[in-house]
Amino acid sequence: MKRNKFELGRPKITRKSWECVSYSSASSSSASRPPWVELPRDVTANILHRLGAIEILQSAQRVCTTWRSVCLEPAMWRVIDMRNRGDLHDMPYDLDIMCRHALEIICRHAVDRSQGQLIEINIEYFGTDELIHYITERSPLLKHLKLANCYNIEGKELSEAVKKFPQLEEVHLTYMTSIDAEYIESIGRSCPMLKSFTCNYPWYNHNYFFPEDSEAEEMEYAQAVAKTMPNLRHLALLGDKITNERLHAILDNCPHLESLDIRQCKNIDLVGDLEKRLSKQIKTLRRPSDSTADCVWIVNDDYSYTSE
Amino acid sequence: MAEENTITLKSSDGKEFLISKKAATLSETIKAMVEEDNSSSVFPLTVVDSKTLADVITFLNKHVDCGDDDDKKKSCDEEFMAGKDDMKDLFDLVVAANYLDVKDLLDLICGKIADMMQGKSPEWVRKTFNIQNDFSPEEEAKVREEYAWAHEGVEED
Repeated sequence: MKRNKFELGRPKITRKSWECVSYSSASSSSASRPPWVELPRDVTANILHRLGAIEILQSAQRVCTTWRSVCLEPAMWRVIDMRNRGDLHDMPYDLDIMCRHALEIICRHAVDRSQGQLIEINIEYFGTDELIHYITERSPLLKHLKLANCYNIEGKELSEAVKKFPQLEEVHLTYMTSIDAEYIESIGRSCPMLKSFTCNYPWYNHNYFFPEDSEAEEMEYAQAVAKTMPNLRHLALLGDKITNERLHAILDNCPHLESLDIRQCKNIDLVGDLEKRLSKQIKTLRRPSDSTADCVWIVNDDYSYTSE
Repeated sequence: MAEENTITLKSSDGKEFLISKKAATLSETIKAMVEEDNSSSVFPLTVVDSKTLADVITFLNKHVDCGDDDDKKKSCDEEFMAGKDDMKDLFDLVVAANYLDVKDLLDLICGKIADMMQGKSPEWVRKTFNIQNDFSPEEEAKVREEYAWAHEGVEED
């Protein structure tokens, strides 16, 4: 047994030593100008991937042929992060439309580069039904889908799309104002493997902007979760109108739940039975009164009461 | 007793560093070396110089002290990275972290390097990272054409 470990471990060390020897000689000759381009490809990929899809395509791949070839590998595109500064709202309307259009084209290009290996995608502030359709046609392995502020993606299209992701385990929806509870239910039914679900949708912000929407309809998000997502491990319903009663229903129907984020859920009263039950069943709990400082997308906590 | 729980790491320039086995084996490479040969107490790392090794050991010791406390790790990491902006030091650290196979350190340094590049032009990156533009004019035209899609919507107007 020991012998085997020796033989498995050794070549790896030898390979790395060899790679390193070549740097030390190269770097010592040029003192403070280390040869960055000679880093192993996986280290270069580790660095460049952090820049996000937009920067990789617009800048990093244009630096040199080595970086370009790293950026062409499908492995670089298994996780596509299309986060952007989210400052489209501050632009004049025409420019806003053009930027969204450009981001959509960049995103399609990134999906093409993944060559069917896409595992995770994160889209913010842009995206259309057509883009979702484009992704569904090319990404049979998708496990994690994260959408925020994509107002042009409709619930109907999304609930149809998820049927084509048989491996989907995680869906995050943040400020997806066009996704009604009926579609959440439909997503739940189509994805029996769903382990993590987020529907961060602070209703006080929504009421502020759309005071005509009824409260009753929004109540159904929690019910949709309890009805259709029995295998959840992680649930976030930040700013939801969920009540104690509905939370009990979720705890009844999602027995594997281990982390729960109910920050800003102002109808929850953490007392008595519910408090005891949560401390027994949930390992990581974020309480209604916990800080939301890490949620950059919350416009302003003060809306909560001005809109009432 | 103490000796059983510590090992000595020897840098490429011959300096010796005493470190707990627990901290040292956060490095997968050292862990493999120790498992391979548990009778030795001195392990030569012929490709990591003493300056870099001292830094790596500081990192490993800090991480052992933090245990599983992620918040503590985060603030330790910030403290560790403070003032680390010399390109040669960052390069040596990323190479050492990769060689020693310390994932947390590798990710930390790669994150720092990516932060430096964020929002910068290819020209700035080439200058800062000492990289030659080795595209042929044809290749450069091809890349430019390919990324022109990003401006399609803008240019139409």
